[in-house]
Amino acid sequence: MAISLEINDLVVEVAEKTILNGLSLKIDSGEMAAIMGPNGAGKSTLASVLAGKDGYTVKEGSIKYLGKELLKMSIDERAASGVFLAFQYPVEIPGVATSTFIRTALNAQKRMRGEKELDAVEFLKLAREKAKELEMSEDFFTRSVNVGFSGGEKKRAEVFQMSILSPTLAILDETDSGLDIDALKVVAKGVNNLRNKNLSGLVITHYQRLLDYLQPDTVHILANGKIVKTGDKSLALLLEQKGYQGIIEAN
Amino acid sequence: MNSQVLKEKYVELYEEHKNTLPGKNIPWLENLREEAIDQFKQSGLPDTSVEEWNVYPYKNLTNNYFSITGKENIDLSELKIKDEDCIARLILHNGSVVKIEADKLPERVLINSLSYFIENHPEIIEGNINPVNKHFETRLSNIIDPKSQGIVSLNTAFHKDGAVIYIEKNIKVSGYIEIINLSNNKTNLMNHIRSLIILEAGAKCKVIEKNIGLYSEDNLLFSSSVTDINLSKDSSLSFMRLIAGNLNNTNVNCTHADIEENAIFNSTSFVCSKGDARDEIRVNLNGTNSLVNLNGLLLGLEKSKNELLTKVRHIAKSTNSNQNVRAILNDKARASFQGKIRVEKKADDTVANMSGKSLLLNQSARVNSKPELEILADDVSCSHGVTVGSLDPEQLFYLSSRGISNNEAKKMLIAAFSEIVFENLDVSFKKNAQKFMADYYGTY
Repeated sequence: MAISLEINDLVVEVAEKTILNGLSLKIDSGEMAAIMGPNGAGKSTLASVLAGKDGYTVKEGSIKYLGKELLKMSIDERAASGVFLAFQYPVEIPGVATSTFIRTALNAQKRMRGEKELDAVEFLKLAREKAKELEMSEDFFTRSVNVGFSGGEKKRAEVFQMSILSPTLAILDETDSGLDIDALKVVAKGVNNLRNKNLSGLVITHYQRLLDYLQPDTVHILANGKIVKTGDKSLALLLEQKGYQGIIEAN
Repeated sequence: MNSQVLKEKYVELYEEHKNTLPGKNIPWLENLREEAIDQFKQSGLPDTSVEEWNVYPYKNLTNNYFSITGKENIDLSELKIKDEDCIARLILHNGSVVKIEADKLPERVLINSLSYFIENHPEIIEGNINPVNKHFETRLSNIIDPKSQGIVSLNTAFHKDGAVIYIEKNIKVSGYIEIINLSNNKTNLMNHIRSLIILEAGAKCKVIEKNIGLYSEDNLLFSSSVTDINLSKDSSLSFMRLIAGNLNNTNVNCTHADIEENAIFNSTSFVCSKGDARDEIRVNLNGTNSLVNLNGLLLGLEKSKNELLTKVRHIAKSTNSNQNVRAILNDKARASFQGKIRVEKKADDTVANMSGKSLLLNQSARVNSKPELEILADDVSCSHGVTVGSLDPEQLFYLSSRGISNNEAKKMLIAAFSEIVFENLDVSFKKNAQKFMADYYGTY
């Protein structure tokens, strides 16, 4: 099976403090991997480094994505090559309509990949289709990006963006936080609809519940800046019983 | 040059030329000019000791002498033909109307140069050119302060031409009227434009004014333009002013508007000179249920200084005002927004809102925002808000993480920031504003 993402001995500092300390992780194409870990373990840092956010200094290690050096790519190049980060806290952008934003993004990616761009009509057709799948009203197309959205709407909008941009690596950073059960089901269904042999997933979460719906292939426990244990989805259940401390101490 | 000497030279210049200025046989106009020059003798040019002029010095204006006679030519063939929506266009060159293009105008719509009206129909404009003391500042201490009106005094004394738009009762003009002020100069030159827009009861029209400094080589240009607006009961005017000048231009624009019962004044200003420019808009809401919407965008590049000053006086009961001003500055640009709401004692039920936001794209850019509320009535609802910030790195990251390049993301955020100024603009206004900024301001 082809390797999607390969992280080797990654050391990352934020404001001169080491957050990731020798993290290694491998995800195959089509694999859904979950990362769980206590607060402050470095989960969101990992997501931010993968997406290319400023303020994170990679001191050591490498990240290969589909065989290419991810760290050498700009943020938008990463997106165009298929990396998608669903934000823990989606950003509000007053004055930019949601549909304008997603269409601009999709066409920018297509341009970079040398594909044909979508015109307004083609885009609207695609957007309507995806909104229907996610049980979203079309009203939000014209609303400013995330402005006035409830917590659940924001997360749903992230999955909506993801379904339109159809990435090959989806990083879900605590997508379940702030969601009620119904919203969680819809979001999980949206993600599951996208699953195919080319899409790899990296699901960052605190809770077992999202994983019940997403059924990950692998579960990794991140603590103190590195992966301390890897297993299948039963590891998440074990975690539920023993807590992080129990598992970390056992290693 | 010493300010006292400069003042005396302008008074001398007036004495020399007063017999050549239009309207010398019309007593009320002659009086207006005489009163204005007397006032100027007292106040002189405004400098940083005047509150409304204290944000930064206008050195080109206060250190140099400007003559009123230049012999520049202009080639109008490069001007594009007027838009289809534009029903009449007046072109001014260095303060004089040089061309009027008009389709067949509806009846009872009068559009011509000020000099035409002075010569042929002075009775129509009588009482509509405001005397300089009309907008003296009444400080909270009740002291009347004339000093902020120094340029208006000079303009009232020296004006020789401008545009006059007079719409008779209940006439609703479709399309828009355009005024283009072009300037160029080969010496230090000043010109003073006086325009009038008068709407009788129930009339409606749209006016775009473009102020463009073409070239001035190494010489300085000082242009002042004062527009007196009179909106009678139930009338409605949408007015958009665009200012683009070059490094050697000092551009001072003043709008003085009187709004009567149920009338609506929509004013939008784009102040985007590469030199020094200011737009002062003073509005008196004289009639109940009158409304003014004042929107403005200040754009600055390089070492430009652009200012917008507003003063809305709520005089009658149940009057409304909304002000939305945005500034976007790069390089070492400076800009200032001084916005004032004054609610007079009898103006209960006033609703007045003001918002001024600034976006700094460079650490060396500076902005000054000064919201002022003077509320003398008891039962009012007023709000004001001012922010200054730079582009939000979280927003930039969010956009880029979806595949949008950093450059494009910045453009999107900048456009979003100024969206409020554009959102309620009429289609033809929006088109003109965007084109104007692309032509004179590069890739904004």
